[in-house]
Amino acid sequence: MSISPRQIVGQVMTEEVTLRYDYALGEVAGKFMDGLRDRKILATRCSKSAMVYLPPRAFCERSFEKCDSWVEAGTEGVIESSTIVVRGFEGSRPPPIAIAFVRLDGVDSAIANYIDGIDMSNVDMAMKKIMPGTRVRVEFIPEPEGRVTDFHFVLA
Amino acid sequence: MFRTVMIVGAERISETPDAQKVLNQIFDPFYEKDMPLQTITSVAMMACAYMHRHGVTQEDLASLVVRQRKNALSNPHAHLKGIITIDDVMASPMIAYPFKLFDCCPRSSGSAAMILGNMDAVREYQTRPAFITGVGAVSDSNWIGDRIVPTTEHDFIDWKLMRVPGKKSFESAGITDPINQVQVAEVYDAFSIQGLTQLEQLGFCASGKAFQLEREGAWEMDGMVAVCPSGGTLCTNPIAVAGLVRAIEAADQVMGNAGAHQVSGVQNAIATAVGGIAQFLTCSVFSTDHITEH
Repeated sequence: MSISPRQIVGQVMTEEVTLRYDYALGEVAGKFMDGLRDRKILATRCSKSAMVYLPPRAFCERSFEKCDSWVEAGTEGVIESSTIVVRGFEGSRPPPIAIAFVRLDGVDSAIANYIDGIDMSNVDMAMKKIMPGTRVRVEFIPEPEGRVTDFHFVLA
Repeated sequence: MFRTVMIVGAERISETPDAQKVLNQIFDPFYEKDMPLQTITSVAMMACAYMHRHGVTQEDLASLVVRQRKNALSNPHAHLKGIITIDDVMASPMIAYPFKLFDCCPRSSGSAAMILGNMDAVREYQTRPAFITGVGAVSDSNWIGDRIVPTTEHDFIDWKLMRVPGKKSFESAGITDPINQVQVAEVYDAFSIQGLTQLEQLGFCASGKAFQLEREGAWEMDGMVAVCPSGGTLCTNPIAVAGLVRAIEAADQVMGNAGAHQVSGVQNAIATAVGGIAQFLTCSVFSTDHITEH
């Protein structure tokens, strides 16, 4: 039996899937989001390993102990990795947009966010300004709402 | 104990144009999903840092793409293939710096199967088997931001985590000098940066040197080690089975079954696989000879 191309086309079934979620913030992410409303970036610390985590963690992945204190992260830090997204992503901001993982002062891990205030007219030139090792500072939006996009980075 | 085991899988991701939206569900809803963090941009960030650290250029990445698309021409199962130039790669649309369209794998549909047997089954059915002489697997934290900082134990920028499964599988297979003992490396490379960084950590060359060797032709079909004779994941990525395909390609090279992309004189071939946002890694060694019991 042979199947003509026309029949194969006719054998495609189309479906659209929409999934809805209500993510419970929980104790740790909840406290972090509350901190943002107060223009503070809160990290957790494990006294056993002395590691300071941002985003904050409930448990330390080195000591396997509970992170037992909260620390306010510095308002400046260093870019560990970065890119400029040019196309292929449907987000709230139009590309090109710069994003980076930044290790804020006093913290051992890096957190991702946008880098604003970069001239994007030449992507190659823009990229050179945000290479690893570049110092940046945190800038909050005028009215924080308890979301990670309450802040972004700008060149220090 | 069973005498034979069949490993089989299938992937039909090309049936949705929204593959990236599905894959993006691995990112954290509180801290990551509000920005364009996804598989492409995350690896792009790693690539930027690696290139900055080691002086690797976009043209270096492009030369790898050119080689692998050419290799894929001889692989009837390959998705993307052809003779292209570095200029073609450089002219393809920029997605996320430094990745252009041609630096990224396609979303492919496909299936794969491999049969493992004990020595009784091998004697009965297979005159030229590939022996699995080494296997290694490792998991790390999924948090990228923990893996690119000075406190990390396995720096993600240089793919240091690959040392763990590499050491385990190479020790078992008796491989101490990979560039001279391994003839084929089917490394899992969904992006142009990914395969050679793994080779560095597996000890084929020093960290940061693999792209220099790419320029010198070391990874060509007739080079020091044939890297991805199949064209690799970069040319064909049926995601769910792409790791299994690497293992099958490596085994086929050892068994002399690789057809038009067969490398001559293969005694050891390695296969790697990468999962999640590169926090799951495996490395396997396939050999013409089994491990001698001591």
